[in-house]
Amino acid sequence: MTFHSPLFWIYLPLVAIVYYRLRAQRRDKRWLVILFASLFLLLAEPLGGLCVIAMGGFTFWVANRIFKEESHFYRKLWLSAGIGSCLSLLVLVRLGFGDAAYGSSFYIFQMVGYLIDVYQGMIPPEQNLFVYLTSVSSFFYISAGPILRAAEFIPQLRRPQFLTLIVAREAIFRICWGLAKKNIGDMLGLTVNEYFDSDLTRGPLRAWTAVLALSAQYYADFSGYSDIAIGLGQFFGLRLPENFRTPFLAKSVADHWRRWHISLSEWFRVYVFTPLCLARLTVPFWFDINLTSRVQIGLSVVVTMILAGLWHGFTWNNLIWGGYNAALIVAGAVLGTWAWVRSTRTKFLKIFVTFYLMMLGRVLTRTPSWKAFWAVFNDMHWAQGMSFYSSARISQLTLAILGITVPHLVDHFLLSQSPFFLHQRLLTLAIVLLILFNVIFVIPGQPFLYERF
Amino acid sequence: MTEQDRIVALETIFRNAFRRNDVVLTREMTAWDIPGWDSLMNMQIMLDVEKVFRFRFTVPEVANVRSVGDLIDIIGAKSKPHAPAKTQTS
Repeated sequence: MTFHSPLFWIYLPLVAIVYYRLRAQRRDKRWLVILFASLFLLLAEPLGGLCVIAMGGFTFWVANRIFKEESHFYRKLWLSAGIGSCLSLLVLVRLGFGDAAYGSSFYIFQMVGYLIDVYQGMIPPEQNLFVYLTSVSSFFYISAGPILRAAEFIPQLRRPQFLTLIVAREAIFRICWGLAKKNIGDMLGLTVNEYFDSDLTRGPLRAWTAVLALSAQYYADFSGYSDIAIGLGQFFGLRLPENFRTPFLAKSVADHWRRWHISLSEWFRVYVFTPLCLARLTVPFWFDINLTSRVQIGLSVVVTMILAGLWHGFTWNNLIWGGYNAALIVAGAVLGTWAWVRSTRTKFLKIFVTFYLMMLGRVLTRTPSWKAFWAVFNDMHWAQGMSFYSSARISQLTLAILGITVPHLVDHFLLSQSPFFLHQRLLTLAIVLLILFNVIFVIPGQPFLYERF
Repeated sequence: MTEQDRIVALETIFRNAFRRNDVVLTREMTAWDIPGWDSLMNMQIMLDVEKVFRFRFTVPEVANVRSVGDLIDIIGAKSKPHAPAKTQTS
């Protein structure tokens, strides 16, 4: 039971009432409310819930072992055992063993990050199992992120911010806006599914409409979830990091990944890319591989992006998607050394090219096979087969373009703290309009796309 | 090696990495202040610093670098007295 379920929105006010009825004590224990609320929701997915609790308990124990162990060898051994167990569970889920998929990628990554942070001495291990379990299982982000770092989140659980009327209004707006984006994504999903689930060649107009709608749907759905999570966090006095920053305005593929699912990109940067770049490529008793720094960085990008691709699922398309992104990032880094590419005069061209390339990447993840991808690619670029330029088709294309531009425009103003969002009456009006929109346009029973990861 | 020496050596590294001769560093500068200072460029700079100053970064050190000042402090703490060994010019 998550944000797409009406039951959740009945359950949430009850949790909030209990949370805020508890008086602030000398040691604030209101995180217990979040923990029990989360565990209750996890009961809806018994196996998934059990996995969260079991892995949470295990990684909590391992982190403390790593911290207490003095021998470097045994510290490494405990770290390997912890990460190995987490990743084994993730692999099992990806291979389809058991129904334990509920948010697995997100809490597992959070636990792995926590173990590495403790191992590297960046944070001491948490001493309270229940606080730790709250940090990895909180209901507002467990199923689709953002992926939080323990150092930033656990202290907040102990000292949540005071909820003012202004913050509550902002939080409600953020939640309503996230739900509206989710509904926009679901509406665009109808156009997307109609095209991608058919084998027919339908001509460039329908192909472009579906592909643009796909980009809009992904953004609306993914960032909509993050908006709701951030809004719920605000409501409970917790500050969650922004997860999307107008990614369609990225000027390169690397820039795109700094704006799209930021917490996941950051996770891969800190825990995979950076260690790979700094790694000494040594084969014991044999020879040292002395790569130039550029080659080592390039190889690190390839490995990181391929792993990021496989994170989405063990399919050939995801593997190719990872390689495709790596190739684009490396090519972007090489081209970025040219003065005319760096010039601000080519800004709009760079945004357009990046959007186009990332759009093709999304087609790769949406199509079931390489062959299907090429069929869509041909459909987009070479006029063939049926093509009906009816007013309905033009309306669908217009909706797809609006689906891309409007959420981006609102998010741009939201992130830049536009005066609109500081004007309390306008914000209240916007909340009322968004609630109406959500009631009228809701498509019930549609889960968030990232939840399947 | 004084802080000014470290800044001068770092400027050479930055100019080579960004292929720009107008890069002037201050302690307060962050990745937002230099266009193109992304994670790839950041690692390029770190690996070049390792070569020039003859030491190895750890992952937490790289993760905790937030500004040029942080980088200067790490170099000061880790580099040997005779460093830098070499500063390449383009």
